[in-house]
Amino acid sequence: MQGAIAVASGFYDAVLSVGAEKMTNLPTSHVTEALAMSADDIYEVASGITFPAAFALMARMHEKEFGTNAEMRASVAVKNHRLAVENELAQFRKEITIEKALNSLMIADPLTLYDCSPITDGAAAVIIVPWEKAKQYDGPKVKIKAFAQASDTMSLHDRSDLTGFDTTKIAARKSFEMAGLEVKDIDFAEVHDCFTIAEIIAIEDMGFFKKGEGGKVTLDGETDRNGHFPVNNSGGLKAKGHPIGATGVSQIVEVFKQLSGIAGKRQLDDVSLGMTQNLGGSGSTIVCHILERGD
Amino acid sequence: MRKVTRVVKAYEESINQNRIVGSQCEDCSTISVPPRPICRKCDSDKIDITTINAKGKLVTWTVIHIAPPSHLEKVPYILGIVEMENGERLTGVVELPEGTEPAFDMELVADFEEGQEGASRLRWKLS
Repeated sequence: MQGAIAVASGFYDAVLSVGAEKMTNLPTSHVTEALAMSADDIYEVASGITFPAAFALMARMHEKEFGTNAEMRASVAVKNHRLAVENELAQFRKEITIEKALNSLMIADPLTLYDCSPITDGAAAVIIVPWEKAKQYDGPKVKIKAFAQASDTMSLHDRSDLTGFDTTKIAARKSFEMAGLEVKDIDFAEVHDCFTIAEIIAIEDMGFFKKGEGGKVTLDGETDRNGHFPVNNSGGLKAKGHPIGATGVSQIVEVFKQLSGIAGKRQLDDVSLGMTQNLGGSGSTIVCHILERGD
Repeated sequence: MRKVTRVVKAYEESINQNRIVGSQCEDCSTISVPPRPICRKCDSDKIDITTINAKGKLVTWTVIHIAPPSHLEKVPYILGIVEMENGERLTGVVELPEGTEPAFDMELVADFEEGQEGASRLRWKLS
């Protein structure tokens, strides 16, 4: 988004947007502590909050309000692990079963190990230039149709709704407005499934499914590769991996590959518009992008 | 920056005095917990610090099994969001008697126990 603004403003001719992260050189408890720095330090971190815990607080509310149960959450992990098998750059290319996910180590009740994205090393990059310049290039290219960012409070306890993110709703709505498009125009999405419940919440807040139905539609296969609206066809953060600083750009790279028809065995048929949703903190910042086929 | 420090300091000091404070707007009387340097309703920066009634109901919770280094010896522990009588919410550790499971709307009261270096720690317990 910043790269696109820099080029669109005319100040730069071309921008290379790079995301990179190395996380596997520290023990899990230290990584957990480092990640918690993007929660509220005084009121949340001091109480011993972790990121799985923040999303567990929301998962419990989502279950209370809409009946989104452990099996529905596990179905996100099962789907994303299966989809990652066809992603040669994914961290985990191995299918898992619902039973394995449900019976895995408890991390922050009700979230178990397979509800959580892994600790990952990774990098991703894209080159952004004006469309007139891109047209002179023979290789694959896509158009940036829209982007938007929204912010909310750091602490979950300062928000009235704990079953969703206002930030996702705002960033998605503004993206649709900027693109002159509607939800139904989008063919597929890559969303920030740092935890299974986060994918469920994202596809509801972006408007692809009704509030409260994200878990059920995932269990029913509607967001699978052959479903009517594929979500995280790359394997998502869950199985492709979640190198924090690289995740946002890697979502763009995946949508780029799909729209350019170079996604190999995981290529979706006949897609022309893809959307991303990336998250920071406990949803305290969200960025959405809409990309369009370039040919 | 100074004002942010002031309300945070007031909150931290209040915990050490075994109470919880919020901010009260001099213009519209809105109370915020945790205290804020600027009123979230009317944006006024005329803020008083006021002690609040430190009891409430459990909104949602998790039981943390994998903890950061600072809390490793406490696992498993319950972390919850508590809604107080004025509708304001706080995140905190909930300590329940053996055999008592957390539940929605469970009535809790703030309790203060001795932490490190003479500082108190807030814990929510059954009222």
